[in-house]
Amino acid sequence: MSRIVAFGMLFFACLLLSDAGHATTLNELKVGVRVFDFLKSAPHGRTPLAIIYDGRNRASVDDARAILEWVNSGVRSIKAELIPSLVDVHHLDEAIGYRIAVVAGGTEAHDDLIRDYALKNLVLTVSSDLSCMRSGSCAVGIASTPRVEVVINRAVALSCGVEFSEAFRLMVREY
Amino acid sequence: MRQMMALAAVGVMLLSVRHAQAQEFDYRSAESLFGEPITMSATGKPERVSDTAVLMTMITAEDIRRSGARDIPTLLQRLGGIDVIRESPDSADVGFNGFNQALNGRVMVLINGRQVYFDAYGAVFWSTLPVELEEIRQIEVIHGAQSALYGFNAVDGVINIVTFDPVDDKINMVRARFGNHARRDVAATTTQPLGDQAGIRLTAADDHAQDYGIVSKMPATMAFFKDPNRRSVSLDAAATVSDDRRASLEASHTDVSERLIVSNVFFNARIKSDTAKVGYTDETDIGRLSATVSYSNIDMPWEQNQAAGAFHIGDRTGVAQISDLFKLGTVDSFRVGLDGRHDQVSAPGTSGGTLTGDLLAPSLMWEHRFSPTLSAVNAVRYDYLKLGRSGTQLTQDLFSNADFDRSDQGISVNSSILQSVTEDDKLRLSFARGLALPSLAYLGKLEHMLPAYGGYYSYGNPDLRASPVYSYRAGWDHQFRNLDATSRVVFFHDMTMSQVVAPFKVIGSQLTQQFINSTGSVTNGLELALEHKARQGWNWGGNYTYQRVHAHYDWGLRNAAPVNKLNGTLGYGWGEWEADLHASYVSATKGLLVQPGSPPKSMVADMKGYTALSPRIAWQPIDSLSVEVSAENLWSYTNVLSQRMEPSYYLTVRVAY
Repeated sequence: MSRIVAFGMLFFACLLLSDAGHATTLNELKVGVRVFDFLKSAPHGRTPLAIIYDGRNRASVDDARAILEWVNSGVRSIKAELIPSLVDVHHLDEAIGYRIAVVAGGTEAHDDLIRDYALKNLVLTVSSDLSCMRSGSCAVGIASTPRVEVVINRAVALSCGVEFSEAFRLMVREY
Repeated sequence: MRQMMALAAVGVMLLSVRHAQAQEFDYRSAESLFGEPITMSATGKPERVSDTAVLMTMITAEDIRRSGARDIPTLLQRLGGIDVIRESPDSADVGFNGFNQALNGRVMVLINGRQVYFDAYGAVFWSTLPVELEEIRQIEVIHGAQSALYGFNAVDGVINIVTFDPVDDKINMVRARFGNHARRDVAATTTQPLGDQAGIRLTAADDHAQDYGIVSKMPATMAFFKDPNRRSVSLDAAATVSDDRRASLEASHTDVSERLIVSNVFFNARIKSDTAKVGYTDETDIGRLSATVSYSNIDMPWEQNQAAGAFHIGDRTGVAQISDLFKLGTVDSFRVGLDGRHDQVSAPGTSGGTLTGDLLAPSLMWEHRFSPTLSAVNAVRYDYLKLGRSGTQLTQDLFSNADFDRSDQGISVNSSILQSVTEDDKLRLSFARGLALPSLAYLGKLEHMLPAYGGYYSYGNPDLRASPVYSYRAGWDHQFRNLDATSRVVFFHDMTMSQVVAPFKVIGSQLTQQFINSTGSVTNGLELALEHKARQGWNWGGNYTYQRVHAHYDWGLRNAAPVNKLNGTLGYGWGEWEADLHASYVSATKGLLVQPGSPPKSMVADMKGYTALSPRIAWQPIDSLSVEVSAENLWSYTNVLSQRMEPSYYLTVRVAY
């Protein structure tokens, strides 16, 4: 009986962990896409935007869908018209032609895949989960509470060929 | 004609660019990203106001809209630590922490970074500033010495007026204001795209009122009665050649006639001001390079006062500035700058000759972030000023042109620390060493005062030295989230090592007055502020300033500064309506009372404390129309003994299109 209880607890713990992940807020997304405007050679006109998520994580799928809906309903950068697409982290090798990407919550288990993809394809990755930036998997981390914070992982950004304007670098924290 | 051709050439350049942006910095995009105002005034680098290590107060466009004010000194008067004296209906002098007097040369005022003070007197003629309140994005007010960034004279504080971007911010409006004292102000501004995305804003204004408030209506004073008139036209254009390169152009002409009271002698003048500024910024491999060149010609074709009669004075200033902003690694930011300035003052018929000042000043700013919650800024600047005089020397002059062949120099320092103690608390500590340079008039003037009564000569002194000013400040900001309010407590201690005074002495048998470096002064004080801002519903706030000036010299007005000042704001917005009340209390002080006569005499007299009330009711039935009824000085007050500020009532109609 005790083994059954223990197994049950473990099962629920796994379920909880599999659903765990940072959900992107609308404010964080608004800040995240505005960051693209401060790139040197910022994207102009119609620009593909990858929304990277974990298709095996329900929370991540929900977060990615919310991001997609928000971008389609008007969250935009000033200079670029963003054309969003959902990209499963397990099929990153099929995702080509992107310069910018938003990483949805719930992808922590695949940070290495995201990092490798960004480095290989020179993609700027933005996440509202600061741990993604700290671990070196994302170039930019966003927080909107208690105040807006934009943190750049300088080493990752440079490795991905991403350069921000000097004025922007002077206003944000770099890691 | 040549100027017109130059303007046309710049216009063609703006038309030819592919994409356009703001002035030297795109405030709008950055403000939109971070959700708070951005400033470049504190350290020369763009930063969020909440991140700046210096103690800054910001007046936003929304604050201006809710103020009911019709000029910038009225807005500044409502801030803690600021002293404003009114010498006539449309003139004012603005000072910080007790150091205020007519022609205050201790405050640096800038419009989009361009210095606007009149070097000849080291003063700002506020009514000549070519900017309407509706054009202003924000007014950045920094308390304490900032000479390490701005050089001589930024010893008590800096006021940077930042206007809207002529590309991204479409300001199109017509405004008419009518009131008692025959007040009639009209202004119009239009913003037009140039080419695809470059833009230009043109503004014109014509203000008129009747002079009022002369306390002693004697023939000798009424002779200087002057209706204030102001005409202004300005142009503001900007473009970005590519994402990384931005260019801007500003040009203006203002023509002002008004009464002033300078050194408490009745005085009126016509002041014509022409300015131009070209700026260029480029994001390069070695950082963000900026270069600006500006020129101003302030001409006072006639100026007459009770002591010296009528004369003509002109001041031409050319400034070139270049700077590089860059970040090394992830925690160290730098600004390297070089400023050059040429100034030329002439007052034919009175002082004789042309006085020149040539300045060269390299500077360095370094910001280091120790941790996400602790950062420090250190800045240093070296100023070298070469003085000179050429032309005809008057026989009465004590000095030859060769006596002006000298230089002055000095080092300014600013050090500040910002510690985020909690998410809601910030501690700021700062030390500064600034340099107060005597005005060119103090260095080189020669005036025959009171000629109708025998007279005496008032001499400048080319041997005057810049005075170090030391400023220590500690400030604590706290955010009350449950009230959606912010508070600030500031303690300050300022020391001026030497004040310029003008004692009388007899040379031969002739009574003379000459400017000399004298002993210094100390100011200690406290500022408290609490405010809650909201577009709808209640809007409230207030600030209190306690300041004690201890002047070591005494020429009759020792320690003459109000000790207590209190400002309060209460407003409510509902639907199409807004109601606001601004109140100020300033405690008693002393002033000079001029008594007309033969000859006129002056004496030190007590000045009562006063309360000024300024209510406002506004109605905005549609976005493009607002109607405002407002008043200033509901109770008359006097803060210069020769002038009484009387109640003024305004009806203002604005149409936006």
